Amino acid sequence: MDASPAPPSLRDRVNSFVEWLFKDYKATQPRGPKVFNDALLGNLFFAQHEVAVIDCPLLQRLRRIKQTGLVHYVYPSATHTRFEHSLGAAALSERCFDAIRERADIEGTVLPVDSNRTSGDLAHLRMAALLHDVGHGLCSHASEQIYKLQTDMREFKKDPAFVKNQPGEILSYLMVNSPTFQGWFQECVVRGCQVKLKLEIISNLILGKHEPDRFFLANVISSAYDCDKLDYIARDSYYCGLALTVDLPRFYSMISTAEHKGYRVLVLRNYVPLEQILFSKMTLFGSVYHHQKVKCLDSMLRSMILHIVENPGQSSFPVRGGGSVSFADAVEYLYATDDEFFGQADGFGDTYIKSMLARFRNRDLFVRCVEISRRTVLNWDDGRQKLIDLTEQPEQLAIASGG
Amino acid sequence: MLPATHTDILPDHILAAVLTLAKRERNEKRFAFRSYDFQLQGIFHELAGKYPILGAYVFSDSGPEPYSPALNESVSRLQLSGLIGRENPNYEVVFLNDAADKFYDEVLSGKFDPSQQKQLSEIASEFLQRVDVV
Repeated sequence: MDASPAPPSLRDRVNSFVEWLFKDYKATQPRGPKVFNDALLGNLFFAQHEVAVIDCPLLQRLRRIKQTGLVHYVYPSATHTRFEHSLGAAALSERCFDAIRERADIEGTVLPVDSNRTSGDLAHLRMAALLHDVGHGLCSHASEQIYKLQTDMREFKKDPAFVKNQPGEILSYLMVNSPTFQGWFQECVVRGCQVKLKLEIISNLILGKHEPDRFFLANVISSAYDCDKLDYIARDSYYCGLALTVDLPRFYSMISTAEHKGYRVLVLRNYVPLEQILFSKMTLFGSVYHHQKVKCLDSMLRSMILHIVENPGQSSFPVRGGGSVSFADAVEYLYATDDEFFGQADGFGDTYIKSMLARFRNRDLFVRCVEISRRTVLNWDDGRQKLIDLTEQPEQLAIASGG
Repeated sequence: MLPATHTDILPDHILAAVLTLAKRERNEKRFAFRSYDFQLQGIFHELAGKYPILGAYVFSDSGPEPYSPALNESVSRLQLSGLIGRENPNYEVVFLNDAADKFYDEVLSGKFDPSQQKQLSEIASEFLQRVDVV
């Protein structure tokens, strides 16, 4: 967080963040398994070791991050969080696992998978689904759109091992692999709950990687029709009040595995469920994620964040236990959750941030958002000035210079 | 459109240049080839090991198929900008529009130095050997 002569690596900064997150955490051993009543999926069963992870700060932090960022200003019911989505994804990963096994039994295919809930592939799969979103920060994808352009994340993504992953997945991977979480996991989950789970396997599954003979398990976590999508399509449409349908029972009956270039991959035996997924995604993007007012909200957030980045001394976001962050790198977005960021009425002492937070509070939103790619403008500074000159109320215009 | 004096070379420019040079090597009015996206990824992955200019496309090292998000985005952007198109009904056939020639002459040709031009021409030739031109 503080400036130092040799900046620590992204991995080091993630380690520091997880250390900070676990600082005052006193783990208590869960008494046993739990059943969570989910509004969308009904009763979800979680084993004792999963409850331990659900109770830890990594997952509990997600209760304070809304699944769809600022969408609830447009669709008032969309206040669901990354926490419940993670529980849903874990449950759906098991349903996919069961469907794949059932299909293999019918076809007479021998799959080298172990369905033991405390040590087998199923246990690893469910844990990966549970932890896949812990790397989300302030307002979920709204901030991801900002920090993915920052140098540290761009440099990290040049590594072939991470090139195809989203910034949030990379942060999840690094958090799960951090020494603090590993230490806690060994003590409270592996030893405390008597399970045999390897975080290396779990973190690789989050990145969509696994052994070639069981690669389809990685596909269940990260692919064109993974448990993440199955949950968020159903959940986001449900909470936005959109009548979208993905026929999940039909989907499960259609998934199978096949050998491809030495890898056993997940395949869909019929295009109809895939079509439903694609159509639902398209509708969600058009009606929700890229709704013109949601774009305005994202621009308002971006304008605040860039103000903080450009004026670190004057408007740093105070974090629990002292210190502050100025959103100068990807990890600093993890320190701020939606509740904490928007709950600071004084704007952390900065007039502009204070006025913008008041606008959010009163739903006094930007009227329209126009996005112009910087690459298409010959002289950015001139273009920016022309835009300002064109408006009748320049004080109402916030220009965020992104990529 | 970027001016010819602009020196930044983007991954999109490389793909547009390769496809246009391939068309010119064929010396036919219409240039179209069969290739689904995953096949295009495979071809460029193979060529990336040989030509440094393709270093802009970083390929993932996991999974059965090579995959470069930058290449995927380049294909999408060239399609969105109308430089390339795909034929109905199954989108396997990719074709170059006349705009690609114009873009190459007015913008791209000034971006690459002679050594890069040489690489691009060689890549275009090798690309033609790996696709089914229709």
